[in-house]
Amino acid sequence: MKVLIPVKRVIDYNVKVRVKADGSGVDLANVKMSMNPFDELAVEEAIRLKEAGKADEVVVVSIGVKQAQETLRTALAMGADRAILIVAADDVHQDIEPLAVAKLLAAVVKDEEPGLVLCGKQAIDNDMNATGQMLAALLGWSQAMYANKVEVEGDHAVVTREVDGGLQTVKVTLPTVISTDLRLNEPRYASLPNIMKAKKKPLEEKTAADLGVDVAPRLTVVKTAEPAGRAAGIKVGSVDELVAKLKEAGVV
Amino acid sequence: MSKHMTFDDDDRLAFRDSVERYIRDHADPESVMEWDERKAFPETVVKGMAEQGWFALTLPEEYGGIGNYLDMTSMLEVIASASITLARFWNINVNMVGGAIAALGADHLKSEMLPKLAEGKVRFAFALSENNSGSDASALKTRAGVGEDAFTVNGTKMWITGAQQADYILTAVRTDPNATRHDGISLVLIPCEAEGVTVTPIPLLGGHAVRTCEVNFIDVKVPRDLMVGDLHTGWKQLMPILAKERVALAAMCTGAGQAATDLAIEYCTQRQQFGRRLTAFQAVSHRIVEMQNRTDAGRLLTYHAARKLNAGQPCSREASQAKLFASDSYMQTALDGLQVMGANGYSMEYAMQRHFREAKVFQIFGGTSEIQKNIIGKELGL
Ligand SMILES: Cc1cc2nc3c(=O)[nH]c(=O)nc-3n(C[C@H](O)[C@H](O)[C@H](O)COP(=O)(O)OP(=O)(O)OC[C@H]3O[C@@H](n4cnc5c(N)ncnc54)[C@H](O)[C@@H]3O)c2cc1C
Repeated sequence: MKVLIPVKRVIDYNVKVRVKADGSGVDLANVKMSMNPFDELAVEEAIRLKEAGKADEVVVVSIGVKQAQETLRTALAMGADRAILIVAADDVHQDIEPLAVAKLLAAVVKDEEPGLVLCGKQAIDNDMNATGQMLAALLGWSQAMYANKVEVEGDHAVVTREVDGGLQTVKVTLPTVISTDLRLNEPRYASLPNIMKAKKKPLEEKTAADLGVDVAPRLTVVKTAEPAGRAAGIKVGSVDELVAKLKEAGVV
Repeated sequence: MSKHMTFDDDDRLAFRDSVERYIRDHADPESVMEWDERKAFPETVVKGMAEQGWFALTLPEEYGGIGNYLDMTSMLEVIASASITLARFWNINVNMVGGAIAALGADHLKSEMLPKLAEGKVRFAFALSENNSGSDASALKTRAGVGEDAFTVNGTKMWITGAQQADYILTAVRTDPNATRHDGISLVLIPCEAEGVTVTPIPLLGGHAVRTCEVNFIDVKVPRDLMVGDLHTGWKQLMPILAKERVALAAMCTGAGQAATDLAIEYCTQRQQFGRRLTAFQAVSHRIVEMQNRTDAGRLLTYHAARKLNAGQPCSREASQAKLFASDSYMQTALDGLQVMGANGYSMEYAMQRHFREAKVFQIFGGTSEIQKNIIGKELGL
């Protein structure tokens, strides 16, 4: 079985994000970019499936600016076999919306015919949490989102999902789309030998136009703002004073 | 760390990135502080570093080594930014002793030791200094009688980092007492398990997670095939190894100096006095700018020396310049960092006190700052 993993290049989760002066978005110039952490979980899970003999090829695909190559190389260094880059933007600030991404992925799926698409539940930059679901809908496939555990057996997968208030186990028929949640696994680090080996792995480049998908945005960002800074606290002298203050603030 | 200057190509950046992640996950500030306070060697993290392949980095390719000295520099910067202990341990094991075995060792020694080193299954220390021969290292007195099959070693080595963890100590011994001081020295791997070896940790000001020890040898029998390099030529063979050590130490000072600078920036942009952030006072912000400037200048010298190592060119002068400048810079940065953080700089709650304690030793070991100046002066024909 072939596993396809979409990976997104996003601002590194350790970077202190700064909003652009004109409020049009987050400043991405000269900041560290990394693979979306949820996608890392997906890559790790796919490699584990391969190591367990449940998958025979792991293909990663990234959609966005040309620099997303670096993200694909990271995935290859982790252990993916082959990469596809779909160039759909030339400005790092241009985000491709979930529906366009899902359409592009659907086109890749038609070519590649994977038995499983494993994606992150959301990208940590815009937190859309929509691409996997849209892809399943476009393909008419089953879906199991927010996976905490994935077991592939024959023509189906048993997926334990993180849902409000607990875990839910579902059985889905392959091919299917599964999205990863935080506790699925612990992704490995790319070692230097594997980074070097990754250089020799195939990376195919296409454009959104090659796949006949219009990626023009349909959403308009009205405003981006930094969260309000935390106001300074106060010290209280006694429990009574604390209770009085809490009442004053209307929280008890 | 991307806001800081790097000279890395894509592969090295990818590697640096993966080192940063590993270190961020396994050498967080709380853990590092705890190792130091409890004098606890971070065993599991070192094992993990080996699993990541770091212990093969600069070994010959047939033992899994695929990195060069720029990779080493980049890696040590990142490791030392979180834990100087881990960086020093790596340097002694891989760069110094592993490097010596790779460059000088007989084939049987290489094939026995290097694969195990790469897997983190054998550990080394390095012993040159003695009580009465520090800067004047070639005055060493530890004596090895040369027998047909074995050496018999007697003497005491001082300040041996990681001797408690080591399986073997690469030891500079005097094999020919009648030769001139530089000509009668050999290098032997002394098994720590051997009868007559005693290791005693020395209480120090810092670097507690890997203890520095006195090592005493009484009639220790060491098989001849544990000699590294040729008989009586140890001193000459040591020189390139000590130069590589200086580059590694300079890289650590750069990484740790950067961490101290980053900490000062983070603290001083938040801390308020007189109704303003500390960085609003030019006396504070200029000091921090100088910290960064010094760190970057040290980084440039270090990468320059590492490039020469990569090219296989002699770099004794460049290595000494880098080590001298980067260690003096790190010390000054720790002093300034502590000053701009006030009492919190002096407090055990923050990492600045550790920089203050650990920076000092970089001006001492690997050849003191004065000795580096002597080396550079000699290279300049002074
Ligand atoms: C934490 C720690 C770990 C160490 N780890 C190791 C290790 O693993 N293996 C090992 O072999 N050694 C190790 N050392 C020893 C270290 O290399 C020596 O301490 C160092 O070389 C200086 O020698 P010394 O301490 O005897 O000082 P001395 O040589 O006594 O020097 C004292 C002072 O005199 C100055 N001085 C001496 N000679 C001259 C000169 N000719 N010109 C100008 N000034 C001079 C020095 O610069 C210094 O300021 C370690 C030391 C420390 C503190």
